[in-house]
Amino acid sequence: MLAPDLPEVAPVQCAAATIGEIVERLGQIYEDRPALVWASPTEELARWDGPALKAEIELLAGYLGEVHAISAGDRVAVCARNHPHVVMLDMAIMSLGAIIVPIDPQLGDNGIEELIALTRPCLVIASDRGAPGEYGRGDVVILADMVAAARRVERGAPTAAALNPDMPAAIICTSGTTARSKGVVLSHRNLAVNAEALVRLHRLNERRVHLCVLPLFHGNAFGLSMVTSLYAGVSLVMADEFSGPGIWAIVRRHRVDIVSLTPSLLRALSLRAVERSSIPTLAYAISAAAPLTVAIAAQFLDRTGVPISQGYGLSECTNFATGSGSGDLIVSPPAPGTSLTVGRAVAGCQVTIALPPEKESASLVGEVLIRGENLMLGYWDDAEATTQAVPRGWLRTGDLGYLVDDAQGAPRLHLVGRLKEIIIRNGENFAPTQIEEQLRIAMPDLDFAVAGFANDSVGEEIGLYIRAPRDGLDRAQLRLALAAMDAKRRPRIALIGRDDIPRTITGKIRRAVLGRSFAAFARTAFGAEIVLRDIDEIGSELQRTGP
Amino acid sequence: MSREIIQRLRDLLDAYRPVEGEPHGKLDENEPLTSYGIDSISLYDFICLIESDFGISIADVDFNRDNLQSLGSIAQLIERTR
Repeated sequence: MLAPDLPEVAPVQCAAATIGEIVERLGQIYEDRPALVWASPTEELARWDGPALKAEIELLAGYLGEVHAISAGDRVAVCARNHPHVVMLDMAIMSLGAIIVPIDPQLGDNGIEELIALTRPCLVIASDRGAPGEYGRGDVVILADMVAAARRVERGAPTAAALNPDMPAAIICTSGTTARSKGVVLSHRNLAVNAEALVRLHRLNERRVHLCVLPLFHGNAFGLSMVTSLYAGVSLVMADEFSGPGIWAIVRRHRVDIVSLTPSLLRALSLRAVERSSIPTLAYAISAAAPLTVAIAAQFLDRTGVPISQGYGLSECTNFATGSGSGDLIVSPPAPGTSLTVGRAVAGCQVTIALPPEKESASLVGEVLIRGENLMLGYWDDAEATTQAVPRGWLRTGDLGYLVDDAQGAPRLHLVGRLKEIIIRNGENFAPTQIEEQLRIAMPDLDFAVAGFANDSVGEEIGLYIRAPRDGLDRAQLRLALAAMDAKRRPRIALIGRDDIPRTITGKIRRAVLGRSFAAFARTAFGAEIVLRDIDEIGSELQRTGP
Repeated sequence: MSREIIQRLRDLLDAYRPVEGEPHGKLDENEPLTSYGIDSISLYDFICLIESDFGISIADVDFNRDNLQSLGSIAQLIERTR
């Protein structure tokens, strides 16, 4: 499986090549405009202009350097909920040449310990006093205490000139939908190139206002909302969490024009209609971090009228490999069966499809490969995994997709599913997402997901899980909907339960977890009849996941 | 705070998400809903159900953690909104 021999793209010229340079420019590019606004609905509004934010970052950098002896190459874990201090701290750590390791504070003790053991930070900074007292070998400091201590004595900060763009700046821990976490090491240059590419894609400038409700410990908010906004002079309005329709109030108050969301948040926002004229400044929502289905896009546009820009990427390519810019949005509800594009390759990045040789003439679908200056330095402390993920300079994404030229002849990427999630039934390949899209047409109001499971008769069988609606499930209707499907793709067994579909924090379906719910049917030879079972009845249960 | 509203919310929560071995009729009205497996996304599913059942419309600005953290705080919000 090899990628076509493509010429490399030209290097991207960045306005700032390191986080230190981004911090250095804050005073000039923002002047007295808000660089950072804290828009928590339950806390007092706070804002910092460029010089004030720069001063706060330098204050923390000085404190970390002098009191905790943090210097270039040290790893510092930040286990915190969204807060302005986290933005200041993250930028301070990277401006020192140290390496930030953002960690989800809701992972639980075991999850946090796993990431601490993986990255071995010399200091852990946590937002909550209730957090465990000991994280592996590192010292633990409470963020608010540290900020208060830093303010008691003013200190200076090292100059940006001390940093090299190729130094590691961050380790983003992958959420691991199927395997244990890995630490993606990103350089200053990775972050700068990603920021410059997003500036060009979204035409970001000092007139834009970006709302961040996604957690900063996730690569999307870290790279797009925080680093890119501060790189571009965009006002960053930050909330502590997703507050449902509460975000419309924030949009109105702060004249937000871009909000970064995931498909599961778009779905939640579609539950209540909002008058488009009541949020006139909002140009569009960026949807990323998980696949956007046609049904969610259609429902969101129908209920809100807010256009969607869809992008695609992985932590391993910093943030985004492809995206749709302001001139290229989803502006009206797509029809069922439409294939939504995730856009074209961003500046400095190449995207291609690796086709298995035997299928080259029969199919255009293959593994998505990515190359460019946004590609990670590698996995932390795992050279073998790095070599496997990036053979010959191309990142193997594990995602299946195909490219279609648009009217201008530029290739646009369409995604089909995850390579690892493909269900091989009687030797034929089926993508769960495609089965779901087909089912969605017949069952538009149901919450469901498809997963494969090992089966002695056919190798892998197609399982369907349905979260029972509150007003009951019409099983006769369900049977009819399934019977109407193409027989090859039809799930043979449907489990019905009250638990949510297991998902990662960004809303990706954890199909390996879901597939285990069908383990009781490993030896069942399914006939033409569709089997419906309540999940409680078979003694199985879905594993709950994080928020 | 109206006991009737609290009980109606418990019934709705029972219908929305039954918890094994723990009937919602006994839930502590001040316990955060996250303790009962309601995360920040499913919370808004639940609130839409409440709006429909009580025939109210909660203002966007009232969608925040303080107002929606427990059955008790939701009941207070309903009383203010009615």
